[in-house]
Amino acid sequence: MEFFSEIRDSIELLEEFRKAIIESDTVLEEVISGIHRSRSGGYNTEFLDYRSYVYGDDLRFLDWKVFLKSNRYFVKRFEDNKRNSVYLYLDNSSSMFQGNKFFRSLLVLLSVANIFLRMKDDVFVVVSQERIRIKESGQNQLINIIGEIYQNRKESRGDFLGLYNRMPEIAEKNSVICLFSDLFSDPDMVRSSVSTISGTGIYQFIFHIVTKEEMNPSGRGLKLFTDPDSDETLLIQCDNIWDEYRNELRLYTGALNDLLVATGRGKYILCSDDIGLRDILLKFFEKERD
Amino acid sequence: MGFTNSTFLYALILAVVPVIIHLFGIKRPSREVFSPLPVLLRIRKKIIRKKKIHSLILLLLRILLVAGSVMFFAGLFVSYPSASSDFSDGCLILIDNSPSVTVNADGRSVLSRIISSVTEYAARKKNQCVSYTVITLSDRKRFDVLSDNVKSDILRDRISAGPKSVNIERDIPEVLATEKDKRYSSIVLFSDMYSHFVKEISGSLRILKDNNIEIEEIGMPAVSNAFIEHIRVERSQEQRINLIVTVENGGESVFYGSIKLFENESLLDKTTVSLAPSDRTEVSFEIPDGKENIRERFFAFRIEGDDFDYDNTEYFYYREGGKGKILLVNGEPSPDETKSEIFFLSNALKSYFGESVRIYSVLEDMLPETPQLYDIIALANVSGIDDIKAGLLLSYVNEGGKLFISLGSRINIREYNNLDFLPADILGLTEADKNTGIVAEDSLFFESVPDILQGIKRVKLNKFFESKVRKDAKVILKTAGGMPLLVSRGYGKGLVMLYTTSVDMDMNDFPIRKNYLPFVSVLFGRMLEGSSERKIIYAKGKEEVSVRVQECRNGSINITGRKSSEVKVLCKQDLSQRMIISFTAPYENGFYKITEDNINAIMIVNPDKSESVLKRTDISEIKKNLNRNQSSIVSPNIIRDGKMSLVEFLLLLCAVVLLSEMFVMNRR
Repeated sequence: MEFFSEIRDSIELLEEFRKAIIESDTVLEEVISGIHRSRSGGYNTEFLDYRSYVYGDDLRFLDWKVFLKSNRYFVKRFEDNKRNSVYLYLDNSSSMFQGNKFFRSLLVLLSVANIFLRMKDDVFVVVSQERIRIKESGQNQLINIIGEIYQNRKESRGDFLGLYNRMPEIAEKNSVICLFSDLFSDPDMVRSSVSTISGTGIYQFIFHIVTKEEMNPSGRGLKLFTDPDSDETLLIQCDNIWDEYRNELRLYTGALNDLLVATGRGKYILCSDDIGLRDILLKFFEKERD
Repeated sequence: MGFTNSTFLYALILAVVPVIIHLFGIKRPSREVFSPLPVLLRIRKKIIRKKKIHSLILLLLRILLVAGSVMFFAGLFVSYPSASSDFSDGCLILIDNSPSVTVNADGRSVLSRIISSVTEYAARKKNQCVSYTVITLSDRKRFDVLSDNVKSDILRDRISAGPKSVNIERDIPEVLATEKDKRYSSIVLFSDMYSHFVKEISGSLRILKDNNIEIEEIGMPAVSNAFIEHIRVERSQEQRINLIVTVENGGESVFYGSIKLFENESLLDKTTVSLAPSDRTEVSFEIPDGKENIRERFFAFRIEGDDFDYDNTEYFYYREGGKGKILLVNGEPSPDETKSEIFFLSNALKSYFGESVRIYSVLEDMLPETPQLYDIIALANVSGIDDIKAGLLLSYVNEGGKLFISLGSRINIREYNNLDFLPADILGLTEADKNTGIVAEDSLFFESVPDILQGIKRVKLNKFFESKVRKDAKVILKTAGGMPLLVSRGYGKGLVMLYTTSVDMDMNDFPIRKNYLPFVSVLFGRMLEGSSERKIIYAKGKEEVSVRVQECRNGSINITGRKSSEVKVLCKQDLSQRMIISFTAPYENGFYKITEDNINAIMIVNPDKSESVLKRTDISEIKKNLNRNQSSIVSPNIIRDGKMSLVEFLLLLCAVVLLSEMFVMNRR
């Protein structure tokens, strides 16, 4: 029975993922019809630099000479204005496993990845220090990878910032990083990281995955709150504190958005569970139109 | 600021309850994983600071609530200092110098204590009052004295016990009315606080409060005061009477002393009495009955040995034979007693007056030669009145005797008509209509029992003597046909009543009707009352006395007691339009005689019993009440006078605590 139950769950999961793909396709068709970017020119552009090989890179661009000399894998990077590297950074810290945030973040990630793939960009999924390249026109591969991530999901200790701060080492200039996170870390440090990354010329889409309850908590009485990421605790009488909290959260996310808008290098997109996937994607494209 | 029931302040310990709840009543927190904790941590300090202030305010509110409740029940009051600016006429001292200030206790009189208190007060207020105006409330003496001259010897010379008791409610407004042009910076009352003051405590307090009058302690110890509460007479055996005296100790300490019985200033008997405070006992004095010719006796009961120097001698007037003696002259005796002429009259008199009236009956030939020994002589169907009898009766009536004449078949009309004092000429016997009843001509005569007037209308009157009313005579009852039936006439100092039918059932059925007894009681009662040679007037010292008289002249009358005095009289009319004279009784207790043309009376002045109960009100209680009245009251005592029961208090407190807890819990 357990076997059948798992099968049924998997089928339902795949169904959800396919719906997300279809939804993103639909939105993409609606929004960018006629803005299709031709990339028929191939890889005939100028050499730019080397970078370390990652799983999924085309072996055609592996520099064998360097490998023979250094015994390390490097791939050649070429100047190509029509292709972007897109890094989809998935926060898998413990807090993301509260409620359905992790699954929801996967759905949004899947949709966004599908859009970038459709736009012939190089799409990488970064999770738990792993960087997985999604092959072109690889919707099935994309679903498989996301399904695999979901199946093998595990919480990472600590918050998402540790790895996110190292993204400029991985992502080249003018690339795009999409962060899928609840952003629940020290707000000052989050702002600092986002600011630093913006300064490197990387474009950041911050998908703020958050539950309705986290946006508008309503607990009363004496509570001992525990932060799932840091295990930090707080004993507090919860009456009459939530207005203060909502105000602080608004200030926090508002400051992030202002920061990205001011630098012209990104966008903050709120993805609370009462906002539909279509609305999130439309919001995502608003920036593109701008 | 002060407290009416300071005992309640012990309950302030309850104020620690909220603190204990605050310290130890913390609820177990519920654990919860909360992802946005970093956001919350950023505002933690701000929240905790707010929470601390909030819980501190809550704690303070709870403590205040408990402490406020306690003070509420403790009767918190806030006094206002009396304004004392722009006063140029010094201070006013009111002294209650009622007779009770003569009381001695611990070797000092109340008056001396009051004088000491006044001097101490003046010394204390030296900086506030340069001069004093002193007014004594009982005798209304008034004098001014400089602050430096408020000394005991000066005050002792000027202040003495007054003649009459003091009523704060009456006397202070009167005194202040005479001082209305003055502006005193303070008014203070010195009183012994005896019952005559406190019995109207609320009214008195109102007067004190309204006039912003302070009251001063004079440090009076408890005293004993025995007084005669009641006297009654019982006939113990032949030729002896028992005077039974109820003695009460109206003081606050034990009385051990004696009661002496005097008659006409001579000591007759003495007995020793011991009485606890507020206790009473009966003391009996058995003395010989008076001789036949001694009809009035004057007794005095003097109490010795109590602390109260007030004259509480009780004077007691006793008339031998009670209210009077009635001689019934039977004109138609019968071996069958029920057929005797006086059978119904005699029994009616006995059943109504009982032992208080002595009734004698004789046959018509046995009319005594000394009729003056009797208050009333009733001639019932006496056949004839010869010249000797007529002479005796004439002098009897002239000297104030009362004569009742009822007719019957045996009377000699001619001899009767020869009597000069007869109220009406008798014309002859006539038979009345069977349905003829009796109606009242003078309804006021029966005002005390008005039901008679309806009842006598149904009396079946068979026969009566027609008569013609003489000059000065007054018809009281008449037949339904308008013929006189009961006629009265004042003659000399006496009175004659003529009943033109029989007092037995020969001529009417009145004796077997229910109104016969009230009729006889009113008729003979009025005759005894009016017949008495002397009116008896009971009074208290300086009391306003009213006496009914036949005629009145404004002016003065002589009152003779141990001292003779002339008192002014006023003529008035009572509700029945009868003439009364009004005058003020002397202050000193004792027997007084009033002998004037229009009034012959004995006045007995006795102590006021209410003055004799010396229950002082604790002056601190009065001060509290006074302060409370002069303050803003924040306690419920104004409604309950501080007498809320402990159960009520606890219930209310529980309700308050529960309500506050519910409020707090609801906020969580």
